[in-house]
Amino acid sequence: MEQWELERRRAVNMVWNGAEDYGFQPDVLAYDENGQAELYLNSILGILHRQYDWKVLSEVLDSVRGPEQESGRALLWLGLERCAYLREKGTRPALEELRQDYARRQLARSRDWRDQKLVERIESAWYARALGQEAKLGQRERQLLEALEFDPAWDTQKLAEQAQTFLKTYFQINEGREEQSHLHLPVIFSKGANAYLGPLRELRDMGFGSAKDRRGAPTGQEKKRRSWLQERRRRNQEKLRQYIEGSFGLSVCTPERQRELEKTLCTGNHAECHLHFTRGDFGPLRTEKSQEVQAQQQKNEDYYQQRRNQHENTILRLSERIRNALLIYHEPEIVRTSAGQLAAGRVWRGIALNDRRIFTKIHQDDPGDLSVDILLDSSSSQLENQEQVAAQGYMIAEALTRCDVPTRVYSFCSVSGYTVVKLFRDYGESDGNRNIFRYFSAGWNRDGLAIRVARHLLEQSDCAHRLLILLSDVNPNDDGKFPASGALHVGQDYGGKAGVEDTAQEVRLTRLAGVSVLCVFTGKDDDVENAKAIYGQDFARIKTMDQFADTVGGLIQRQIREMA
Amino acid sequence: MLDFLKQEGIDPYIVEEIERFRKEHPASPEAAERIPTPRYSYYGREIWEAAATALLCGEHLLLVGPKATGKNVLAENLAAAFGRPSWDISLYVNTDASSLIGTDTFDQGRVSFRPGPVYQCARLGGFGVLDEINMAKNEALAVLHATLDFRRVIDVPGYDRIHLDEATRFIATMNYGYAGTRELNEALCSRFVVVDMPPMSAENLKKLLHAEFPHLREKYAEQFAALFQALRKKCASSEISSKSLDMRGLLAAIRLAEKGLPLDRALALGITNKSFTDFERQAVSDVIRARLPKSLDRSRLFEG
Repeated sequence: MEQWELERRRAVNMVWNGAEDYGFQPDVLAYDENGQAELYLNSILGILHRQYDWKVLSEVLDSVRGPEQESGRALLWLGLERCAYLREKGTRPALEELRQDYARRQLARSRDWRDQKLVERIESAWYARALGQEAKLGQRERQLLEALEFDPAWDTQKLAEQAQTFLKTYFQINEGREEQSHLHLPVIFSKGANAYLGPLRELRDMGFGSAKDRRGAPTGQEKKRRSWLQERRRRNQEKLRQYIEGSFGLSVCTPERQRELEKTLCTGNHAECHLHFTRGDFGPLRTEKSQEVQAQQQKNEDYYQQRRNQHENTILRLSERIRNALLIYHEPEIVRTSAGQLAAGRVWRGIALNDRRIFTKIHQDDPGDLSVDILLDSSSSQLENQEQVAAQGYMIAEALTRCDVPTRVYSFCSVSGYTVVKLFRDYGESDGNRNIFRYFSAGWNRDGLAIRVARHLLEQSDCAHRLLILLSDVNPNDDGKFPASGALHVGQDYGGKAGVEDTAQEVRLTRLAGVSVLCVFTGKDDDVENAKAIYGQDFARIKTMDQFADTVGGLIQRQIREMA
Repeated sequence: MLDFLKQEGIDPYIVEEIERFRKEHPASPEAAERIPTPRYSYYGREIWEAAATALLCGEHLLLVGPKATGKNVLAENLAAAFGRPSWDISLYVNTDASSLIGTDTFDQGRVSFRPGPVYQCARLGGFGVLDEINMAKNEALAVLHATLDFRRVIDVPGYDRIHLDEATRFIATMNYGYAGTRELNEALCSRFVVVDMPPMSAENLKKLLHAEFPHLREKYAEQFAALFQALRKKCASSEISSKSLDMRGLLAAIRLAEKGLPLDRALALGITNKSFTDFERQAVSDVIRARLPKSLDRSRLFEG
């Protein structure tokens, strides 16, 4: 997770500390000038939520129209801050110290009062008051300051009315123009993700567009459009990256790490490709696509819940199956000990040789020698089955979790030259299985690169037996081409025979690295040949998605038997 | 212990029955030294009444609940209240039948039986605490089936069949919802009555704090209780792991503060540092800072 995402989560946690309601999703968060979550203000935000009907108050704050009233809003926050503080300070001894500390910091960074604009002056006076000092103020300023000191005994309704009155009285007229150019809220109250929306709007129809238009094969016109886009993409790499983030979720790598990974992995046949590693978290990003993704997540969950009994039973059956296979694999070892089951044939040693180890004990090996990676194809070819794939993926992961088998589940697809790897659940994240419902299909599939990435990730597994299971239609197909080579100025399309060969090559290399690669094949009759070419005998074909989990169970069982 | 029960408002009839049980089953001198003197008391009237009644009726108990709900404290308290010797039997994946019941051993030129904790419990009328029962393999626990049901016997092949002393009870504990734990199979589960252990309420936590630290100011006992609840909430919503949700850690921190260590450092030792990721440490320390002033020390925390 990137640093700012961690900081954001920290800020939300601070709000929750005050709110004591983990269902509350704050739409504003406070950070200090270094971008660190601000403990005092975030706690106050949470307390406001708990003490008042936050919806009513935020409506007042949102009702601010035009720049004239922005200063009024900035000051309203002060009034609300004081109310929350006064209401809570009796029950939280730390609050007083935090408030004073915060006030001192704000005063320390305020400008000389002669340079200050109205809002700044009021703020300074406000914080000085928090520290028990009085600042020099004009009559109108003093009036404003006093009007802000709302009575903490008021209920939400009364408070909201007074806040409205405050805005009307002092900020209705067009006098704030001077202030609004220097709106000085000392903390960064970041509202939503407006900052990200600008470039995305412009790019919305780039890449794969909305899921709806992808159902058919790409038309000639679309292909032309794509080559034009490729040209434009080079110019807009950064915007494209933002677009990818807005569509699939924020990257979990720092830019340096990303470059490093691309340098290692995007070579040879994938030289011109990019990678995007995400967990499907959008953070503050709100784009059309992110909403579509979230709607699909809801659909996936609903689908699972509607057939919950059936699914739970599948999980039970699967885990029983895997557990039994594991038990057989972990043959107990018999060791000699000085206490335990008497070994009659050795008794003489006790008497004649004074060897006390004439007993045996059964020693069970600890399980955990096997790790399973499940890589789901999330290209448009799975569009019709998204809910099933998510449910089946969840069931497999849950069953493996119950058997304590380290499991990792991720999906891949490729869009505009980016192969997007979405990690749902990593080893050790036994409570992360629900993330699999974030499964969302879009774009193309560059199987070769995806398998290469999986191999790279698998190198980090310490297990002696590593198993990689792919869900795939075994039809590698990407709009990003092979790199141009020799006399050709334009590279060959990634697909057809060349795509199959590239994928087969990656599978071979992965096997050489000691990983067992198995494929669950969902494609058409015509593609069986491809499956044979790539995976040899190691694939299982399923006709409908609901066979996926059971098939994988069988494959894992087989793998465990071979380990023994 | 019985005075404590009366003071906690436990139904007098139950307390009387416990007294009668103690009279009917005096501990033998051999067993007396194993009767625990609990370090902590369990607070929670309803749970006390349910658990004590079940034991009086001859049932075995299964205490189920998440971390820091006082399962082991209750088990120890029950043994003390009933005046029974107790055996702590920690179960883990490699536990086998012989480590519970006993094994053959070779002593002075002859093979003899070395009794295990379950065997001793059965003979001396003890309370056996089967800690984390779900960590053991079901197969290993199958030997307990006859012990735990109406037959109340232990059959060791090649030795006598022994009947459980009338006062013998087993109290199993089990965590749920954490990784690595497995479910208990039905056959075993049906041999227990199950007490669902609730998280300790703020009020009971305050009682515990006052009992442990008689000089702790009321105001701060309240804050510590609220702090623990806040951490529990954070843990329940999966924002942090359960590592920092540590009652022993909280008590240890207050103890350190009582000895003079500044409270923020004491809490770091007892609670914050238990998490091993920066994010979690930060989140836990934010909860603490939003509750307790940084400058708190012994003189402000404690009276006198």
